[in-house]
Amino acid sequence: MIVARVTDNDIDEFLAHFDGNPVEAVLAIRDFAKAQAGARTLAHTPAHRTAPQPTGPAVVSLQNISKTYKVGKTKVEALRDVSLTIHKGEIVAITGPSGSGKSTLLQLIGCLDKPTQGTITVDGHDITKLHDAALSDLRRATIGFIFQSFYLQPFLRLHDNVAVPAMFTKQAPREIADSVARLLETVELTDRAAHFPSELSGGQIQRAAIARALVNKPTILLADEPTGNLDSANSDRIMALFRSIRDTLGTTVVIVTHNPDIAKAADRTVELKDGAII
Amino acid sequence: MIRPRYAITLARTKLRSKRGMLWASIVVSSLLFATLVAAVCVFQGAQKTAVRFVEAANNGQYLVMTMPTIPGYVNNFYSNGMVFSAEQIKQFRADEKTYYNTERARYKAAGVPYDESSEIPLLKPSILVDPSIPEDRRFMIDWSSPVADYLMAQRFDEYAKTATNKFSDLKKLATQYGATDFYTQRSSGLDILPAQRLIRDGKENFTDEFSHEAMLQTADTQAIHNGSYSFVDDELLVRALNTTPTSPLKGIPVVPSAQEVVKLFGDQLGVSKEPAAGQTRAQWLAQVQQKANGFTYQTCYRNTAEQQLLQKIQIDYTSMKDHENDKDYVKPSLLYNLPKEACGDITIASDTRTAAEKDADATMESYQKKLGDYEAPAHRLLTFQIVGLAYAEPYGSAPKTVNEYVKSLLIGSPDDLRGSTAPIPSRLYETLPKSLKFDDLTASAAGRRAIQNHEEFSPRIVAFKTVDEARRFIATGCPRFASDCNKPFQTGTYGSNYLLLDDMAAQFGAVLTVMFPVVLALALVIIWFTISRIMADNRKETAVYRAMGAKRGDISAIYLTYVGLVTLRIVVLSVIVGIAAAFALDYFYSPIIENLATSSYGTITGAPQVRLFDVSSPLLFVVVAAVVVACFLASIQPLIRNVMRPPVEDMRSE
Repeated sequence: MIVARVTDNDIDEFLAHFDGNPVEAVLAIRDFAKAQAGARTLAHTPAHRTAPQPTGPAVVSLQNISKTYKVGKTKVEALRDVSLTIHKGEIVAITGPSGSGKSTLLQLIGCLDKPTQGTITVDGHDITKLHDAALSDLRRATIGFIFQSFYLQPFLRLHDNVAVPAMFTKQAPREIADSVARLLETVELTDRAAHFPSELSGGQIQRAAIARALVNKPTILLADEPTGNLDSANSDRIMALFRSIRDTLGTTVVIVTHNPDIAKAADRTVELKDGAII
Repeated sequence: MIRPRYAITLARTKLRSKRGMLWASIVVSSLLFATLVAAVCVFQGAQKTAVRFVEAANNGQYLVMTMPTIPGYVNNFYSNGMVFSAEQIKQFRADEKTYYNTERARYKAAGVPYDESSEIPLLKPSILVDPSIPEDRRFMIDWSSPVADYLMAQRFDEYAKTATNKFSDLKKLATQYGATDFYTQRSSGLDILPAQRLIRDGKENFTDEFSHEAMLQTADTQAIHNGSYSFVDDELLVRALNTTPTSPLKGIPVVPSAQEVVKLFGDQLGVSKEPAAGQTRAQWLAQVQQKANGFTYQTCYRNTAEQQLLQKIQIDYTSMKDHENDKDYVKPSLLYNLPKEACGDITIASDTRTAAEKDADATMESYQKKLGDYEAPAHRLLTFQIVGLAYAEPYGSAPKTVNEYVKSLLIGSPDDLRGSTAPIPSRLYETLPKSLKFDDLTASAAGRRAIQNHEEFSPRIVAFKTVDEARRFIATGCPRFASDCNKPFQTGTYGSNYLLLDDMAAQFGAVLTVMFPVVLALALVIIWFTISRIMADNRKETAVYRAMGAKRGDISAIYLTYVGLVTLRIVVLSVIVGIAAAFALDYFYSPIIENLATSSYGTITGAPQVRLFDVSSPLLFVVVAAVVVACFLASIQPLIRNVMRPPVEDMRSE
């Protein structure tokens, strides 16, 4: 229950946003109340469409991107003339059938690859003009990756696994340890900090992978099929976590998914087919 | 760049992946390197042991035995296929004539009539020559002819006039190569059995002149029995001389073989026979040395005239015995008695000579005196005192076991401590009072050995400070006993085969030169294969790290740390295994080799310890450095390939 003191003017101004339609306004209030509750119990809130289209600054901008691979003697056009802008704080789902170019798009946004044509700007940097070391710096500072298979190091304890991306920064070990502890608390894995990945459940591994992706406080979180191996309850929980991250940290979240529920829970869905946005 | 502690954290995770293959690779590489470590430890130990033995055997000197190369024509009369040419025979007859004329002149000067028909001719008929050869050429040299001695001496004197291999030449040559000392080996001049008889149990044995016991024995360890002695410089006998000197000397100092001492005086000394082999032999040697130190024994030296008397006694009594029942047999007119006590006088048993016979004998004696050939019968009791012992290595027995072969290699060349001649330390001998010396007995005998003992041409032992100097000097001569030598000297190692030891060291160096790169290459391939596989298997992980922002340098640091951890394990394992192997080898084989080497060098007193284990070689550090280099070299190629790979290639399979 949310209690707030409002004036008549406040109510008029609020209703004006909904063209004077009180039903829409009530629904919006209910969503807002639920979102507030979700912020307090992030990990337990089911996935749900939240805010309207964000209008923050663009953190990723793709202009007429094409990407062609050579497989033997054959050229495979993974992406064709793709233009896309992702704003700060936006949760974007990239969907499409297998082979549609979702992962390629994610890798380009993640600065792991360069386009054959077009330009990509990530956090204000044209990645096509950056060399390997600068791309590494950009990835380290800006991007957090959540891989489909998570890739936790099997012989590292959880706290070390989460700390891995920070190991490549200049952060002091104490600072890294504090960040790891906070993140493990956020993803409710504090009691598992000294465990090896083999001792964790699928959901715990997923949350650990998210914590790891966040350890360097990235601007953009890229998730490749993050719920692919999870049941729907766990998937809802992960999506709530993404929303919470976005809401509390302002992180932009880009999710490649096949899951329509996930896509529906995103702020925006970009659908790819045969390497082009439809 | 990633902090070292994080590089170690991430590198250690790789040690846990592909564990089986990694450890197999570590173990195999470590074993390969361990062989190098063990070889270095064993070699270093063996080399130091060899140096200790050379020190003990040769008093720290590298000795070279030298003999002047005397051309064959000087001391031999060559024939063509055992048949002399007509010209050679003509020359021999002429030489014979010259000798007779010389002798005739000498006799005439002494007022003694000369009958050349009493001389043994130089040539005697040979039945070995092909009968198809004309009879006047079927001759051979009769070495008992005084003409042969005369001609040989003449030839030698002629040769000596222009020879370039005298001692003065040797000194000049050897000094150029760094020679520090020159030692002489020479005969004692004492005639051997039957001139000299060993007195045992207070008896001088000539009851049966031709018995086995009394005859010259040819076995190697019969120097005392045969009365065969030689003067050897004390420096060359250091290893055999007792550490506790016998003072004052009670007899002629001598260094006989332990074997003969035990054979002859074992009962008196309370020492049992030589054990077959093993550690007990060294203990036996030490025991013999302790008990025989200062032990004295005596021989009786009888000059040629007394020997002739003894021979006459033998012949006369044998003849009388043979004619016991012959009534017509006429006993010799002058009969002698054998000495009644050891080294006693020969007395006359009966003298029934006629006046004419007595005159004839007196005339003969006067002639000999006039010619300077007369020698009054005489004898002397000689006392010898043992001042050291040698372990005798018999000649001529082909090595049958590996141990014997190694021993024969170590000894290399025969020397004075082999038992066939008992050395008398010459400097120690000089300290004897005149009454104990035998110089007066040998003055005339030495004259008869003109060629062998020719001072300028006698064998010498040249001392050098380093093995290289000795080696270079040896190279100036022919091998000893070379049949066709055209160099002035024959040279060879003396005392121990230090060249062999040095060659073995060089050989080890050569083996190591080959072994080192082979082991290195093998290890390199194994490590390369393992690291390549591990890096290939970790490509996705590398790509994940790159996606997280790791630079190529970070990835390199992780893998180099990983290689460092692997290297550390290989180094520790190879050093532990190598040292343990060398130690085990030392533990099991050193006592055996020590025993072998002790007898090989004849070092009984304070024999140096044999060690096949020594970790002080700087080569060990080279091996360890090589392990480190090999590991890092092996990782360079897979590392470069790994870090240069775009991460997206390995992410694409995502």
